[in-house]
Amino acid sequence: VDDGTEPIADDELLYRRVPASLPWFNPATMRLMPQAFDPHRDRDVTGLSVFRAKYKAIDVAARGRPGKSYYIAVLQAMDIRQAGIAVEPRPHTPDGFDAAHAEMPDLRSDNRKESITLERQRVLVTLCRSVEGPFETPSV
Amino acid sequence: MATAELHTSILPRLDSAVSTGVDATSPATIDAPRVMQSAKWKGWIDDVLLQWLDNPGQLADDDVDPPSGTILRLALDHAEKLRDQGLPAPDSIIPDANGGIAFERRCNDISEVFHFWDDGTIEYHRFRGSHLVERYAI
Repeated sequence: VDDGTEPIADDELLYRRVPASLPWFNPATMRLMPQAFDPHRDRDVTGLSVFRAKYKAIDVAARGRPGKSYYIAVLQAMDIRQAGIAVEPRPHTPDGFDAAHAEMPDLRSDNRKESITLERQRVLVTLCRSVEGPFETPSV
Repeated sequence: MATAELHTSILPRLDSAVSTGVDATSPATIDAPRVMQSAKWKGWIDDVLLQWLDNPGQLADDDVDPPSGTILRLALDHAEKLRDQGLPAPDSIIPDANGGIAFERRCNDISEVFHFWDDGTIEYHRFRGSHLVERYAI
């Protein structure tokens, strides 16, 4: 039975949340910036977070701060792996269990300034199949 | 920032129009590219960097730390230096997720980036496509 711990299949779609409050995606030009794949210095210790589409609707994956809006960059696991970037299920998060949660362990807090990470961020931009949204997070 | 370092840029530099002194008033002899770039720099400085400095919190979001006033002032100072040296304005000025800021200029598959990291270090990056082909500290 799939519970979020099973390996991510090559044909699975993955969602990366992109804040609409920042100029990381321009809907007029459809240009996505590599900053959308910046590992955070504290929160991406084990890898950059994405969500598995099989477990989470796109508008739910886009939820963030109440009242704010987010885009979703859509990627496919096979594309990421073919680019030499690993993606693994990580349903156990500091905030609890989330079957949809996955990570790219090659992009982490500790290597965020390394050249290979800066290159991988740009590779991920080229791998995006689409950018959807923006989706507004309802105010509480 | 050393001028010599900036001149390593492979993206097209602005060359001033050659003044002949014959006609100093018609639009054809005005240093149009430089004026245009200066206006573009002014937009980045006045409408973006100073706005962010006025309220850095507007850049805070989930998993995103806004730049500090120190980093914003550093970026502002460098924007003014680059403008005064006649260098082309960036295509993008973008906060990163960790309190840093990047100035990026693109030409075909080449991207040049001045990255102001959260710790105050400044780096020049040149990418060809996604490959980082040059990187050094400023």
